[in-house]
Amino acid sequence: MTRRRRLIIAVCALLLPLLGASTGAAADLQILTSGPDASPLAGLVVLLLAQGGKAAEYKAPASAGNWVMDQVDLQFEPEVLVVPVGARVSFPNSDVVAHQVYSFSPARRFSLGLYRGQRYPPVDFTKPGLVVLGCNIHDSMVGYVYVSESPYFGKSDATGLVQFSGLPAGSYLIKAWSPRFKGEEPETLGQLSLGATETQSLSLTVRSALRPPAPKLVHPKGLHY
Amino acid sequence: MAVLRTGLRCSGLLLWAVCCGVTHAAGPYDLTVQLDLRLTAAQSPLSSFSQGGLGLLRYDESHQGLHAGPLMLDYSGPVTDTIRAAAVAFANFDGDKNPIDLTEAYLEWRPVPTSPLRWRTQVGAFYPPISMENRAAGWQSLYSISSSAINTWIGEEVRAVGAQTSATLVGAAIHRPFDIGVVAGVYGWNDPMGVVIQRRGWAIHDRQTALWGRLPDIKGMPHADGSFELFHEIDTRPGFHAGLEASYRNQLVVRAMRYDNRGDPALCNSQECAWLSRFNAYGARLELPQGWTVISQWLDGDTSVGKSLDGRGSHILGYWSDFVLVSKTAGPHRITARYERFHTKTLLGANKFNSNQDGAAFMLSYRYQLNDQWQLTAEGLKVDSSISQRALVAAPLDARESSLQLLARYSFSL
Repeated sequence: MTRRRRLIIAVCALLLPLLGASTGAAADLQILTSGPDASPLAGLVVLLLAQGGKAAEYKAPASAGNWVMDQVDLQFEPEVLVVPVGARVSFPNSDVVAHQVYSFSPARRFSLGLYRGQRYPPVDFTKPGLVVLGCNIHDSMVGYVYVSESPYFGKSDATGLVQFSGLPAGSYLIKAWSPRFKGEEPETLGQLSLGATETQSLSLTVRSALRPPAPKLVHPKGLHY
Repeated sequence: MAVLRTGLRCSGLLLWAVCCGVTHAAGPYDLTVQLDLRLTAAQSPLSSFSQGGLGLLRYDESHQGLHAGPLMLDYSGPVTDTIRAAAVAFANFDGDKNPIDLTEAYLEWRPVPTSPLRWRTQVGAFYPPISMENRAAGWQSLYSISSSAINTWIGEEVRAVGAQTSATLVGAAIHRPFDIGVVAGVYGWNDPMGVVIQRRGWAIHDRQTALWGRLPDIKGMPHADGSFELFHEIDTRPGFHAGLEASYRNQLVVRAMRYDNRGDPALCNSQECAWLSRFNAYGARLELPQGWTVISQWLDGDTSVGKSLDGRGSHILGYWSDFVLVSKTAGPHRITARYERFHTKTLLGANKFNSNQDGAAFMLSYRYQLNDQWQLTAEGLKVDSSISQRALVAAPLDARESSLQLLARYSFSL
């Protein structure tokens, strides 16, 4: 093998990982979340903020898809919707009674006049942050749209598990927020470095003081007052 | 005054018609039409208050069997994006003045919140926020056929015809688990309020007095004048109510209210006298997981009528009542139990008319929501009461009354 051929092979070997990354080689991540009392934490918003590597170079597309925040049985469904910056969120009303959805959060102020069904076009969320939703008719309705500054986000399931797949290699800051927090500031849970094809599993504990979980209340049929 | 009443009546009906028309065009409206079919059985030595008796049940032994009614219409819809019109009408079918009449009609302005403080203003005729159980369409009990003695009385005699504003600090907007609110109202046309509780005492039923409706006076009683009309303005002196409400995580709601109609007891018009009626009302509702609800209310006050040197009235009646309700719902089923006590005592003027009442009642109800249209309810009610003025109509002072009602309620929404 000539010196020139060896040099070509060496350069190709060096470039191969980068080629792999750009053709789909990516990391998977599982995070098992728990509260200060070590019990699984459901509905926790988890954000991965890229600090370096390929992840930091990611640019979210101009239109970040369509998302849905429904209204069912006088409740927002889901209670918390996590979306990327630029998301367009629909607010259909699946109840038989009319609702009037509004928010005065700095991240997105809007108001949808009294409606049933799907009367209004989706609302765009262009600033990161927490948007608290209310209904001007039904005081007890409270919901949240969490607009993530990072394209890498998730929400833990009933067992406290949140999963990410196809993450670019790099280092990430892990942040989390829950409606059970006593404020809207997310808590930093830790830092993480991911290789190109790595699969990692983490267990992370939220240290913020939590309110007790909201009990599952039955909203009586025919409630008017 | 007659001109004023006619004007009020016309404006109410006009409000209904105009709002229905306007809101039909402005956006989604809710119109609930409801018709009851009832089978009733009663045991009582007394005739019902609805027939001019001193019995506390809606249907007495002479009026058992199958009843059609009442018919109820509950309407609400937007006039603009932030103004809503609401009206409720009942056709009671048991001795009311008009075949169908309004019990509430108002405009409500709810500006879209721009801060955690939420404002609401109502103008028209409406119930002050006292009841914790009358939460269904038409201000009916969500839990049973009859309302508690307290809320039965509110439905009979109390209505604010005026304006009310409330401001609530919404906790969710500032990441707090509680809401705190204040409410205040100014109203007229409620001067005769107090006459029913003085003449007959507390009762337990679901008949709401319409704005132009009436309740019969006690037949055979001295000075009985046929019927009471509750919503007159006699002294041109506005009344007020003011209250506080706090809620925690939508689970616990507590309320306290001061109500004072500021009636001038020295004045009468051609039909009714003004009564000075004042009370404090307290209530709490606790919603628990697995469909449990616990409600308790307490109301304590007095009412007076007649000329006196101090303007306080020559006849004064004190009254109080309280109740506890426990309800459990599971799917289409709901079981509710309620126990209550009630009391009135003449504090001044007993030599002219002695009105004292002591009583307690127990109610057990089962409700089944068959589908969106049909609701079936069985309610058993037992009332033990002693009323001193029963002696004036040769009726037994102490009476045990009981009733069983089977209700098939058909309703549909447009």
